[in-house]
Amino acid sequence: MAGYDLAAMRTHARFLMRDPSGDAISNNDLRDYYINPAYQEWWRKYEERPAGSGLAGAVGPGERSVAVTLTAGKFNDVVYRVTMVDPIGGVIEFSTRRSEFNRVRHLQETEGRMGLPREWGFNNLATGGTPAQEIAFYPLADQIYTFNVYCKPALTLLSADGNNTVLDPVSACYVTRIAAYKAGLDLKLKPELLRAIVQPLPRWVKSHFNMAWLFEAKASERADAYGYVRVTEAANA
Amino acid sequence: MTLGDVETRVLNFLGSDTVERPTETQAERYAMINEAYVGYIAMNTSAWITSQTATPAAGSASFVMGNSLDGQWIECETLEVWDNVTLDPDTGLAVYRPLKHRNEGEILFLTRSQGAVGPPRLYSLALRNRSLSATRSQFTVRVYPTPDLATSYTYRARIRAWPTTQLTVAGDILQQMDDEQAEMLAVQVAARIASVEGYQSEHIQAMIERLPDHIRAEFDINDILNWPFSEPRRIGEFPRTPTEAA
Repeated sequence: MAGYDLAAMRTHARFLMRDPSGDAISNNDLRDYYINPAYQEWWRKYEERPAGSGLAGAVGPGERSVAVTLTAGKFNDVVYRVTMVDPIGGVIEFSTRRSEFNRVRHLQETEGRMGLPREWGFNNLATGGTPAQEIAFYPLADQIYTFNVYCKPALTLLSADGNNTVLDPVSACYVTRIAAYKAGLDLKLKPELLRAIVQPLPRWVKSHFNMAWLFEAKASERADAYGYVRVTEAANA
Repeated sequence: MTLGDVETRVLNFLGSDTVERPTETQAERYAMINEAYVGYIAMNTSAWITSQTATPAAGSASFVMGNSLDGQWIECETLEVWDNVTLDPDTGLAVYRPLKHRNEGEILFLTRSQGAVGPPRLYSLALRNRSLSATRSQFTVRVYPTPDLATSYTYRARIRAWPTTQLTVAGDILQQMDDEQAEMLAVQVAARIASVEGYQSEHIQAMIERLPDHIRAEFDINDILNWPFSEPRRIGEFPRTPTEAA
């Protein structure tokens, strides 16, 4: 595939690290130890979105909870959203509020209202790496309702040169810079070069990825930074 | 402006003497240009494009918008509706009327409480999914009042979208970007390349001075040039150029 695929990311990272022909680190090492981990970390931190395919289930009248098994390898074990299929409209799905499993169960056993389910909570039953969820609804269903489960999709790591990330193009470039920065730290590149590598990243990325302590401390915009109030403190206090 | 034009300008800023200066390959320059290009579009370009239209079945109060031709949406400005009948008397073109945006919950509540039927006036937009194999996003759109069963409507969204392809050959035109913005882009790319290649600080500073303040602030001039000996900046203080300091 064309575009910003693994090969392009590697070229980009190698330019940033000043290692154009792979003298310092091999292609596979760069991919396995730096690009993929950075990609995965980015995904875990920032990408919260429903997967393309929902998983359908049904809840019957008075049913306390429903077990749903997700496809391992396709989804992480996090349920993102549950929508109910409107029994009147037919195809219309509407969102339901996310709640907590025990709270939903408590409401079921105390108030015990019945009607159109408006909130859900899940109990994680994952065993042996297979994600499975038990989902409880409140109010208790008064008839059979069909629902769709949207989950956080599991990431497929980059392996071949033509593989693309599933991120937007700006985030993909950030991932490359983070990977180049981490590789640069391990290769003990000059701090000036590391600074140039991370410089275009937004401040929030620098702080989330622990770069801020190295590059941002002296330029902090906090009001108590040097220049506004001089903080004097004995080094060994 | 094309990718080739931008590259020429970048090379002019960096100096064309490839014997005396550290060099980079064309692929590396293209990578840096593409990176700055998508970043610039995301932050500074406000070009709106019209997405593919959707014409759901008559009477549909919800439908899905967005397909692979649109790519990933950054932002949606407005959703417009055409009743498939009204034409502009002068131009003969369809008359699209903008809808007002409301929360999804409000639309659902209105539908279930008042339940009006007629030409749609309000809409809500919720991210449905982003395909992980094709680069695109899809949205569930709900409209209120519920369109009457006899009439079908055509909807179109005005959106900002990511460029669907990267610039790969010299002749590729920079989309959604005018010449002046492309000039700025070239400066930005040249400065980034120069800072990686370890150019003298005066040289980088001379490039960055051409940029407008808000982009220059991104470069944090004092820090990058004098690091680690620079003075800290105070709140709201822009980097000082030699001219300002004099």
